Amino acid sequence: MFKIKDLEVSINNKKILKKLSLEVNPGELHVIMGPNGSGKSTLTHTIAGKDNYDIDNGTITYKDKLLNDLDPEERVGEGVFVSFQYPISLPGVNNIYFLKEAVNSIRKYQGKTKVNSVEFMKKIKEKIKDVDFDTSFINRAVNEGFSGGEKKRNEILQLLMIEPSIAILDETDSGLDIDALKTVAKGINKFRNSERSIILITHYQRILDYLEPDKIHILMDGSIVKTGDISLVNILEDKGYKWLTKNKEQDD
Amino acid sequence: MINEINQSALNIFDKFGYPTKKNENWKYTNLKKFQNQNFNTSSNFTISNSYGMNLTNSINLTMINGKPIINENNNNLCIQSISDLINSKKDEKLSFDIKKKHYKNPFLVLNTANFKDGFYIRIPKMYQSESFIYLLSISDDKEDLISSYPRLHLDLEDDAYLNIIHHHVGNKKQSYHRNSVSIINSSKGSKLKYYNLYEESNLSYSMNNLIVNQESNSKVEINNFFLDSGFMRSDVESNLNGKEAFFSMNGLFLGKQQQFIDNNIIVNHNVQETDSKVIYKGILNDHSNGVFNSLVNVPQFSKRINSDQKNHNIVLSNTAKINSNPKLKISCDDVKCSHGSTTGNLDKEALFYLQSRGINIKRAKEILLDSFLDEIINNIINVELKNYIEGKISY
Repeated sequence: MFKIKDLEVSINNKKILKKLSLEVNPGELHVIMGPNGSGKSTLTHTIAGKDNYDIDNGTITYKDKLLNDLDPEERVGEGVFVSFQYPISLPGVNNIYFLKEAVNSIRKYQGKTKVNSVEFMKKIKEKIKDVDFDTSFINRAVNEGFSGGEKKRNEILQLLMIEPSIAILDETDSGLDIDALKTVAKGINKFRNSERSIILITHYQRILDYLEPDKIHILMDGSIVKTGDISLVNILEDKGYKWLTKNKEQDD
Repeated sequence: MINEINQSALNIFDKFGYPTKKNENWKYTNLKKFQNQNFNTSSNFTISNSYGMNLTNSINLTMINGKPIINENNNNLCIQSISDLINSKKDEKLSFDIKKKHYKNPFLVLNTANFKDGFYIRIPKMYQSESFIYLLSISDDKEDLISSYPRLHLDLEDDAYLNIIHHHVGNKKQSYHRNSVSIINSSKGSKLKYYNLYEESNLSYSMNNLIVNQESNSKVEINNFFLDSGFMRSDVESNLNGKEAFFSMNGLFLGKQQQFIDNNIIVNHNVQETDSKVIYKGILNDHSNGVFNSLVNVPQFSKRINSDQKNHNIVLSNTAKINSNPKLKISCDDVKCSHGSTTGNLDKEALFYLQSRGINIKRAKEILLDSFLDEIINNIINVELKNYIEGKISY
């Protein structure tokens, strides 16, 4: 189980996440929605272990292993993969070389032997079909000259090649046209199984038409203020986040 | 005679002496430590260590402490000892060439004042070959603190094509001084690819002068790899003397520990319709110090010039330093000249991205630095040479 408990994170001494808690069981798909500035990207960067995202309090654990002090590469080695909102490009680093390096590094961390080159090629050829890439993409530099949609599909390709056991996807659906959106959703569904779980952070309900989320969380001002099923999304579409602020005020 | 050439150069050197920091071209070069060393000229021309690389298809030449080892059987190329040639008075042009270059640079003058021999290579008209010339220049002696003055004169006749590797190696345990001069004359329509590899001792003082003179329609590509250095000074002068001549130069310098690598480049577009392109990339770590000075000179009436000079550096430690000054001196219109320089640290966002994909920080750095050097490395057309250089690169 992936578990975040009472997480508090500050950036430059400003508290962004405030007692955030979340639990995701194997096979589940959770969606986190929230207005701009609510702390969504801080959450993904903290889970990934980026510098300067200091955990003041609380814990992030996966399969009972504490992730708080692990390096980014160790976290993905433990099975926790994070896809970022703005994947950066790596000029001069060949995509296929990069993927192989990533897969082998993770295997090494997990005490497994290097991947067989023939099998790796076979697998990559199969997976690029899942993200509707033609073979030219895997021989290009990572994300170099890729359109926004191509970058997002490349993230899904990495997800399918690395095969972690939980994926945190930060706005992997934003800036996509309808075809690319369907491709990304297809990739996510291909990845998901009874063992693998997903946390999807999104602004739009559009992609949810193609997925089957188990839980919807609303993140506001650094903590989760409401959790529900897919019907929560429809209420949000109707009334916006203000509805929750009002509710909160009334509760107070 | 060589003695006479030595003497007249010595007279010139005595007049001007060592350059000081007041001289713009020597602003970043501190010669104090060098001048305080007591070097002796080598008289030893046999070595016990093994050096260099094995290439499957090459014409191998060796210089030990500046002395050429002449092998009689060198295909149809004219490969001779400079001293034999001058002392037999068979080649007046070469003597003239040596004397003419006297004044240009203090260390060039010092080489001319002290050299005893070297290689003279003439590549005949229309020569073409798959083979590389592999010239291994070794500094190694029984004693420490030895000076040597290797010298190479390379003439390419009209439409001759040549690939050459010049490998400068030294005893890594010794402090030595090597003052090396290479002069290339590239005649009409000739094409040259020239690879300079420097693997010096960390305790060495290596002064290098390379002069390239090009006639019309000639194409010269220089590739400089500074893989290991102590105190390293490299001066390159390119003279584009004929229309449609093209000079290009790629450089890679890796600085570690206390190493000092001082690059100085002058490209003279002496006639119209000539092109040049220079790109140098440096990676500096520890307490190393790098310099990139380059000047493109376009005199009056040299119209329709294309020139590009670039220097990009990555600094890996707080204590490493680089001075980069690409300069243009243009005295006419109708030219297309560009220059640029960047220096920075490794991209933190890129490192984090690689780490988030399971790659540890050490390997992530290597991947990014490899990709930074890719442009320079990919220019190497000889696979064995490329593998050798890649094997020597570490960060």
